[in-house]
Amino acid sequence: MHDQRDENAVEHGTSSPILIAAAWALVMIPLAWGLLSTLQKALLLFP
Amino acid sequence: MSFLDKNNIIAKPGHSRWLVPPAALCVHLCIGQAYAFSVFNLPLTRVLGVTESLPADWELTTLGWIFSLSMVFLGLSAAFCGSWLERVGPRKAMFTAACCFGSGFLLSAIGVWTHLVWLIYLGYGVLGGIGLGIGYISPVKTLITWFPDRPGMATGMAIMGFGGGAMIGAPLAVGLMKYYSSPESVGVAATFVTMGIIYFIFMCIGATIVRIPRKGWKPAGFVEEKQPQKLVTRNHVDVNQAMKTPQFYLLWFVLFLNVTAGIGVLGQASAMSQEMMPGAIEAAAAAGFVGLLSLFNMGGRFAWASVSDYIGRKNTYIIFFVLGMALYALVPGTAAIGSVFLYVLCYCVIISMYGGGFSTIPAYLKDIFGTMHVGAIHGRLLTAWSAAGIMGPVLVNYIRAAQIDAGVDPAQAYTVTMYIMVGLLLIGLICNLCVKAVDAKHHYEDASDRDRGNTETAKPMEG
Repeated sequence: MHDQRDENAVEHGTSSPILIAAAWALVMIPLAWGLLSTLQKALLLFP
Repeated sequence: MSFLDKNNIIAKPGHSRWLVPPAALCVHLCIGQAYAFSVFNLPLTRVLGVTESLPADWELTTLGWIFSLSMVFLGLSAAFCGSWLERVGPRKAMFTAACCFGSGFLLSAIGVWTHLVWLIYLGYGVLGGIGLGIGYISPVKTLITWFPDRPGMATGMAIMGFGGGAMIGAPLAVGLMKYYSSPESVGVAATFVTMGIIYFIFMCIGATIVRIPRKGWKPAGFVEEKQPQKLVTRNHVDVNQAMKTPQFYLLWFVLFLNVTAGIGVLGQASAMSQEMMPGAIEAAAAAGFVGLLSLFNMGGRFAWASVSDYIGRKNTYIIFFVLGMALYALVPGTAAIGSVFLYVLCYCVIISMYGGGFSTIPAYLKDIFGTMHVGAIHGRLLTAWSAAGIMGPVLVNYIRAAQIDAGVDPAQAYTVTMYIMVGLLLIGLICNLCVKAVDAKHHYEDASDRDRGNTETAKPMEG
């Protein structure tokens, strides 16, 4: 498994890491916002 | 429209597969908004009166059909568009989903402006529902072929997005309605237009990013096990042939029963928690309980599907059913002793397994039927979701009503339902235990089809 991950890392080098990070940020930022909003509501359960 | 063609989205050598999950999430985070549609219900009952409902305003019962219609068309479009999706590839499917979902919002906005509810039925219910169905299944096969080493984790990431979509959709809709509301308007129509445009753009970004692997592509260093596990096939089964196998129907019931057990609770969570724990859980805390359940619904989709890569799909479902039975049996007891923590904990785990059931099923289908038509087979299996969407809430609501009519205290009115859920999960467990490898007579005859991914579609076996 360890070797497999290392080799994948080599292969991923050809796609721009900035592009990969931007793609993940695009989906993670709204998700994090939604998560935070839900967590704030959920905290009301345990005052 | 060559930009959308399947041949134009084959990844070049060195393309990172880690760009594919965000593409899938772009779609699933949008369509997951469907679970948050209820935030529009109350404002829609005041479209004419604004501050209070007028006699000519829509009733809640009339509006309830919007969500129900969208769920029915989700199941139908997933079932009927699966084979088309296999043919045209994920980009065209995602773009079609974006057009349907986005235009569904726009048509609904016209429905609100003109106060014609059938336009909202047609818009969000029919068009939006078709967008939901196509969007839901469009990235599944693509992810499985990009992640043959971790198919559960890959589909879990996308389907987690569907759970997370409600968390974004609800506060976004509430915020927009607040922004657009005025003494003359509740702001729903303008919110529909804004959300339709935002979701269309976001889904189109996903369609632009998505790529399919070239034929025979494997992740670097990935070697298929020489001796595959008993329930993991290297063969493929055509979608129509899959419908002739007992495995398809067993898995249909596995999904149906797992979803039925969870969806009834999700739909009634707020009222049920207040009735089962009177005094301990009030309205505000109940809203928090619903929020917590949606968090576990989302987290369970990723966590359980990832776990299934290590312990196997069949074992994962065995855990869902056995643990689910134990927890449903425990719930009335936790309510009786007044332990909010234990009550909430039981339901959070139950709902995590409800979400996990959705995200683990694509990888289960891939194990049993191979990757060739897994998207189409998954689409047809999703009719179980539509059926459970009717069955689950009916079970919870009607049995509760019958119990209260019989004079049972509201705090105990759900006890019978919980025990019925235990029975349903037991049937699900038996169905899951009966799942065996598909008979070789159903396999695709061409041995070269073993490496088929997204780039080609095989011809059906004759005879």
